[in-house]
Amino acid sequence: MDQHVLAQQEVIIDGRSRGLIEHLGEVLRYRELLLVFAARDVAVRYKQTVLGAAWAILQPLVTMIVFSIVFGRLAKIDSNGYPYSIFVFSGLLGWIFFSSALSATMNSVLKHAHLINKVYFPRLILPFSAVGSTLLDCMISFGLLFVLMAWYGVMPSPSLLLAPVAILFAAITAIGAGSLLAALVVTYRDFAHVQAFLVYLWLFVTPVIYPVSYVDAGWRHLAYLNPMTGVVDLLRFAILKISPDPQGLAISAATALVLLVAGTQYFLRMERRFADVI
Amino acid sequence: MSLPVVAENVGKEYILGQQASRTATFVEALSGALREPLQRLKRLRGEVDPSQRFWAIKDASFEVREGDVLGIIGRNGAGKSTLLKILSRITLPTEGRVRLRGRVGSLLEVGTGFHPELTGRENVFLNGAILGMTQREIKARFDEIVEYSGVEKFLDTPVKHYSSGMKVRLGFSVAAHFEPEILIIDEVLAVGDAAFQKKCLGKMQDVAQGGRTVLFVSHSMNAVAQLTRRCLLLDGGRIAFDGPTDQAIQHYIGTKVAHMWNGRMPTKDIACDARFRGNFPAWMTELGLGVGQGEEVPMGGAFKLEVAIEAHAACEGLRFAWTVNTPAGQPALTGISKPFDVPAGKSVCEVQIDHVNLVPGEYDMSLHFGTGGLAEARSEWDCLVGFGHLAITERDAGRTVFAGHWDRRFGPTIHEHVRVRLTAANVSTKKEGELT
Repeated sequence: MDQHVLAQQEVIIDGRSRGLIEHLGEVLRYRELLLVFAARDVAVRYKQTVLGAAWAILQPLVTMIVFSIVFGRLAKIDSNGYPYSIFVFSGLLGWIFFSSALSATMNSVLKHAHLINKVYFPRLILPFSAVGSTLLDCMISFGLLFVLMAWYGVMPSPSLLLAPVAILFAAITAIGAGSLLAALVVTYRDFAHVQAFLVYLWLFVTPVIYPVSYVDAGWRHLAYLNPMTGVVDLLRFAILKISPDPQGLAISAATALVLLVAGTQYFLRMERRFADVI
Repeated sequence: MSLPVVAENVGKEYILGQQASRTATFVEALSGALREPLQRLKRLRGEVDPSQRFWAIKDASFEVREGDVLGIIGRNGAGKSTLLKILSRITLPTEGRVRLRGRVGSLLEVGTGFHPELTGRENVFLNGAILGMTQREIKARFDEIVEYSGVEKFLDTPVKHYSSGMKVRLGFSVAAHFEPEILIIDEVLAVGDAAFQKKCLGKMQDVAQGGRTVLFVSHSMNAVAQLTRRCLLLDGGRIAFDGPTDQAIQHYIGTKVAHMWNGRMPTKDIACDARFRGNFPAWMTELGLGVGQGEEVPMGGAFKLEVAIEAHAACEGLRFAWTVNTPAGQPALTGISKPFDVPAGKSVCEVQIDHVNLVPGEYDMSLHFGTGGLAEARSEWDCLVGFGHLAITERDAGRTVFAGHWDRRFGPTIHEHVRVRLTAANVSTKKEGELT
């Protein structure tokens, strides 16, 4: 982003609505601010904490241990022949990233109300930077995954390269659903109460604690309408080589993209009035 | 090369009802959605309650050339803030458009987006990015910014431990080192002490001399006169005047007076002290300002008050007393009239106040009505407190602005024994409003 280019750049301010492509182009021009916001959120998250970034490891680790005891030992949920711990962790990896990304995205607009009333920047960078700020935690979880794989003697395979693709789709889903909710919460504060509830319920319709094969074959494709089902499925394939349902993955990918377009479109429609409403 | 700012028929409409419903709950919105088709139908047939429509700014067209310093003046609610919000892209116009060439910066956003948990160093980068600087630009000027702010020692301390003065200094330093092509300064909202405001104005002059464009919003005619040569005067959301600053200021004072003194006003519309109402045989019902020449009162000139009085019974020995206050609430001029009598019914009195020897500027007035003078016991029957604006202008145009910070070390000027003339007495109430 050259200073000179910006200096000569002409901007037209009018009530005309712009296309998604035009908006994404502007997000790209403001990528520096996007990164600065994300870096700030990362820097702030663990300031004035004793354990610091260790929280990024503790959270998934403790969740995994508790789930292993409750669902693996007590409920004896089938884990496709793998130790339940690594089975549930391979799903949790995507889920924890998604749920924290969704919360961050959803709150991103209200959190910046003071800026929205004072300076211009493309509002759409807010959901993107919110997701970006949760990526670091996700990478730390991957480090933990490698330790667990070594512990349980799971050999990494080239399919592991698909894991980032799964994370990308989790990010797309988070941005889609998150920007929809972020725009809604600006206008209707009711949605602030929906958030925790939604994340909680969403976990149970996503095959994180149980294998997707638990779902009746007739209903399975319906389960893939939840993009997170595809994300978890793909992660389990990438890490444990549990063969996925290609049709299901396609359905999930399609829903994720539809959600992304619908969510950002709604966000952009509402964004025009953010400063008047917030 | 195009001009830095070109505005064409810019308008921003707020629909008051809609605004309210937007902050309502989701359930209300859902039930509203059921009624919506009906309302939309009404809207199509042009049945929207016009009182719900409000144009904060309308048909604003102007251009600003490179290196211009444009003043924007107007009363509260004239549309200045809305215009600035549109120019700085915070809100979108309902109609019309603005073309901007270059980045828009504002000295208002001092420390905007500072995060308390981050250190001063981190916040310089964060704040700079928010204002629109690239990280490379900030890096290049980092040392300058820090030196100018004078907080070197605390650069690695979280900003939450800074004093508010340090925060403002650091924030201002970042803003001052940002060199936008278009700089907006809204003095109305500028927080901070006099020294800080001075700094802002200094920065503004630097920017203008550097050939960049400045938009300056202010209520201080003094500052506008000093710093700008061209002004937009906004009134009721429209550009009432666009031209040389001295003329704009004249118009501004004119519109202000016209708004306050557009004919005679019922006293119930004027701030009044209700304690007295109805307890005495006579009270004031209408008030008007009849000025000698034009709409403003020249320094040392005269003005007339026209007061309608209603009395249950004939009253004797009535007097008016008034005070002209500075905006800070200090009395600057006070006076009392000779006693006069009114018959029962409605009467109109004219009070002539001469030699209004006040420094040019804005004042407000209080008017009291009762019996008794300076030497006797006084009984207040009715009073109107802090009404209107009295604009005192220079004696004649072309002189240097005779305003400023006069430090008063003397009591208010007292006008004694001012003549009151009964212009109409015992008029029938049917003719109300036609008494001049």
